[in-house]
Amino acid sequence: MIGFQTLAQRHLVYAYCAVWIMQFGYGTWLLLQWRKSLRWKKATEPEQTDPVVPRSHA
Amino acid sequence: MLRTPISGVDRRPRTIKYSVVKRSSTMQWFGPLWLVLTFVALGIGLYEAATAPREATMGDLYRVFFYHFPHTILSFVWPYVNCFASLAYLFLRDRNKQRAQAADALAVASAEATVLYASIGLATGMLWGRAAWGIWWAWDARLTTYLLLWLLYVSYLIVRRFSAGGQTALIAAVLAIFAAVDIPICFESIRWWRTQHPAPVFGGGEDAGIDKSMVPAVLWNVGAWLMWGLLIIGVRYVVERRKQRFQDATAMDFLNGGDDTAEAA
Repeated sequence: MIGFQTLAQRHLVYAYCAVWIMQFGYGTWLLLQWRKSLRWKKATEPEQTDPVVPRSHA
Repeated sequence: MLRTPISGVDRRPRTIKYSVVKRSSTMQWFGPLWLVLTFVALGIGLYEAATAPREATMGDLYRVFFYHFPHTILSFVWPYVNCFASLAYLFLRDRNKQRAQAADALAVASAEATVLYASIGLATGMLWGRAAWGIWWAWDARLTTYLLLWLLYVSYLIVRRFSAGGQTALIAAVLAIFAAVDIPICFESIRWWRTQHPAPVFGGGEDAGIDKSMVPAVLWNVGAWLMWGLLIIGVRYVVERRKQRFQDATAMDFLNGGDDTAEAA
């Protein structure tokens, strides 16, 4: 078990916390961007209308 | 010529909705599978780092190495992805706009990964240095060139964020090629100049290396953070591509006298 009494032990814990906070902080931001991008995706999906034109209107 | 309607024909307009990028069934399960495997690898890496035997000189403090080393090594890999993507952008921008935009999206994704990994390399290195050397920082060759690397890629992202006009991708691509020059200098700095930073642990001569019992922790963490890096670059790439398509569609709508796309978003 890693202690928290000495400077070395504290800095080891700080270093591990820094890694996980920074990586998953960025991961969370990326997740929000992903959700935002779903709106962009939906807005740019082309809708192709292919009507069956009756001969009377041709 | 007027004709009578044909009986039995459905005259209602038929709408076909399709996506520009058709996702294959392989991609639909590959992403979540990669995410799960990455978290499993990260968990094993953390377990291996916590349970590796204590080091004779530094005690438990050396365990910072298991996170410091993978992030620093990978922060030398992502800039090359950025550099090659930027070169591809410069080559393709007058030949194939779609592929050039894809290369630009990969460049920005890898630049963000570079800044993230280099920030962690700096933070863990400083925390380790304060406890091991008694100082937070030394202006030695490795630390200085590494700080320069970090500043170069932060400036790359600032240029992308704040430059106006249609030349952002071009300016960023040129900057990325200049920035990549620092990578081999920074990587080799601990071999060329012997200053404060320790000599390379791997490939540093006969006295270098680590005990065999510590190797699994190093390999698991390098592999896991590599997988995580590929995941975030992949996700960031997709987000950037969607943004590019949206901006293109908005611009086209504007030119056509409407702003349907912007309203839809």
